[in-house]
Amino acid sequence: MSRSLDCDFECRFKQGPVIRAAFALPTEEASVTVLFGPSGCGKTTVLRCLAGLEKPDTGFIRFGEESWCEAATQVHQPPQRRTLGFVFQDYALFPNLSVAGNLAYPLVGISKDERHRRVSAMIALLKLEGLEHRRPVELSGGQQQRVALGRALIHRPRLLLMDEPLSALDRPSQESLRRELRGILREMGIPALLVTHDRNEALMLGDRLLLMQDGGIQQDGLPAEVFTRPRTPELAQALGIGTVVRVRILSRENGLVRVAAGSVELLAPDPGGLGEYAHACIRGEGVAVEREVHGDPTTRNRLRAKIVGMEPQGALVRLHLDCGFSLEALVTAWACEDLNLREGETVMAMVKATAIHLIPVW
Amino acid sequence: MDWQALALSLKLSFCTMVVLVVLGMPLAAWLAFSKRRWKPIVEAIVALPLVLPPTVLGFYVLMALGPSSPLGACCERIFGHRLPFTFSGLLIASVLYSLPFAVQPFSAAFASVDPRILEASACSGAGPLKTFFRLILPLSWAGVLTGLVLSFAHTLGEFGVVLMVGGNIPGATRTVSIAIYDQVQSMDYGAAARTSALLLGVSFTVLVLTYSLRKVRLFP
Repeated sequence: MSRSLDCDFECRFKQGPVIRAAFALPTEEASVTVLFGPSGCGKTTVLRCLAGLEKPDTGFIRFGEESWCEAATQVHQPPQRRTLGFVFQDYALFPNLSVAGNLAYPLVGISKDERHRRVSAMIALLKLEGLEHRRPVELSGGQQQRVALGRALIHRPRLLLMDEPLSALDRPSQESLRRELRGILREMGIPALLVTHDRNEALMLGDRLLLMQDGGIQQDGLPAEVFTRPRTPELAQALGIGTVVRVRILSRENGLVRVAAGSVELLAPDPGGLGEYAHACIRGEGVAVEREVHGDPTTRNRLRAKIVGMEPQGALVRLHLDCGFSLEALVTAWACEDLNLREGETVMAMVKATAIHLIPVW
Repeated sequence: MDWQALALSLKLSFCTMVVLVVLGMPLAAWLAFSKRRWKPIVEAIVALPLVLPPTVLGFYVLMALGPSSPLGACCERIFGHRLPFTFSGLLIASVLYSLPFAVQPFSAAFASVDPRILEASACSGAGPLKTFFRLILPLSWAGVLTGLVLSFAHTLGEFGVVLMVGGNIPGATRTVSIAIYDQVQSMDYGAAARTSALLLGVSFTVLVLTYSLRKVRLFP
């Protein structure tokens, strides 16, 4: 019988939201499950309940045959009995202990030589050589994150819980550590549950994604699938899909469906099960912009559009377009400059049919 | 100068400090981390010596330790003698009288440790004792030091409780503050001035050292 983490519980806060979670995680394989959702939706509460740092008001948490929490019978195993690793958002390193001291802290019941061997191996794995005797305050954010990860992994926990582990880092450090984190988790072979609201983090690290919104898990699937095929328009917005527009179904042909969005027509893949109306979700990355405004705008999802707003976002610029309905496009700052795009100007927006996801309206 | 009284005061202060480490720390840890509804009652009991006149506290301790009370009778069976007007009785009274001076700084220091660190310790498999000795105690050393020094200095200068419970027996319960009182009563102002100056100097030095040490941040 395969061992899994099964939970179905509720946490109620006085004059606050109710957080619900019901899912099962297989823990025999070293997969990474991402708990994704906007800030404040209850992701951290779910993680804290699994760790034993919060007590659910109703429901249960079971790990294989072990009962970690049964609210009905007041069973609540403390974190010490759950044998898990927890990486906190702010790392929570022990300020009075060195890097080696922090890493060795969870190791008990083993010989001094074995402890030394495991700490040295972890230092090598996390590329912390030469920092063994430093205190946390003497480390950079990235180094602190590695120590926190090492401390959570060194006692070989049965499950690793990570609460937005990269959010306190600057973007370049986030990107390099994200790549390394995936490799480290694979090498250690420990199943992990990662909380994040960062799409790139979820896509890069996750094998499975639980989408959380309004205090509950709303969708469960492969990360790329959940991000491209949200189940409801609200989830599409929670996933950061810039354009969600109500459309009317005009015709179906060869696996494609022609829809009317405002005053224009679009071609999109037919997901099946469509009625008369649907919601079209269009990712900004799937919309290209060019200067040429001539030609037939009705072919291949070419739409004449007016730029009504420009929002710089690092290396990218989010363009707000009016093309008969509100459309968002995400283009590089370089392309924006090259095309000399300005607010109020008319451009041609090209929407990839595959970037359109239709959600039936019931 | 009554060196015997000074030695007794130092011995009493040291013993009180040691007992307060053993009893005060668990009590302070409970006060810092407990979420019990009746915690304010315990906090009030601990703080009582701060507002109660020493004679009132001394009176109750004297009554409680006396042979006519069940506690006093029990203590007499254990120690083989009555506790009032002995060093042991004086020590019990001093511990009670100095309790808030140790427990309150301990408790405030323990409570100031980042709760996230305590959670990280629990998630690393550490029990309460390991967390206390490896993390809480080292991280709250300044508050612990303050509590120890305050209880030591406070015991060194106590008068009312000592007089009520210990009386004035040279070598057994006659502390330096009682000696000063005696010297003034017998109009030996010179000796009283010297003893007072010594007590003032010791107390001041101890406090200056404490406040200087507290500024040293071991773990930023």
